[in-house]
Amino acid sequence: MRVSSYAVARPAFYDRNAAGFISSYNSNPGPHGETTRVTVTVAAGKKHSVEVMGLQLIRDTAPSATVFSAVRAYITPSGGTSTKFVELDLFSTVVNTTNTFYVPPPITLYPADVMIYNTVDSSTGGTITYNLVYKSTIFDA
Amino acid sequence: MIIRCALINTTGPGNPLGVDLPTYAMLTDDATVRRAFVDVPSADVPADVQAFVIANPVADLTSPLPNPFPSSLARSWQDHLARRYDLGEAKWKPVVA
Repeated sequence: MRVSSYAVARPAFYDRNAAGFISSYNSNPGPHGETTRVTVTVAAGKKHSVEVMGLQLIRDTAPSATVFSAVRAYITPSGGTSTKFVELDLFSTVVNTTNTFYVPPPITLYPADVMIYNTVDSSTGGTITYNLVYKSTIFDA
Repeated sequence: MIIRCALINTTGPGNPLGVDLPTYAMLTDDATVRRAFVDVPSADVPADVQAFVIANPVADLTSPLPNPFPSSLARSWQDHLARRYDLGEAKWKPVVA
């Protein structure tokens, strides 16, 4: 007699109504106050398996005076407090100075979790290119 | 879809300027005229708001909308987001501007 269980494991996340999601900001504004460039909130009944979180600043044109510029990434878990988990700063006035960081996966975001990329540039004049990217797979929670 | 929205002082970390939407990617913005072009997932935009955006195209950040954004559509968008993100209340109040 063969005995087997009716218990069946759930499919892997990528087989649960999965879809790719990508969001990015690629621009070179002048000095500005802190501004949210990309934000992602996980919808009800879904999760995100984060594959890439990339942040980069490149000094394009020199300012006459610099204080600093930055990219800040925050995650706010549902019902929790915002946590800044990455800040990339650029203090240089030298053109083509670059600061790059990729957040290593895996990161899973749960329903109502929020991810935010902010930029700020307190320099006087000059521009900076910001390359911000977020790639995840959205699947049924 | 790409929508020109009002840029506001948000209550997010750092109290940044931003658009009152749960998910978006900014394309370009102007803090003086308080507007930004943002890329919003189509699933986050109800059909009536999508129809308004398509019927009222804008090419830059400074030109006025051909027609003002109706408050009924603003309410429709708030309710859509509250349902989709399962909040039961309108947390986000985006405005086509």
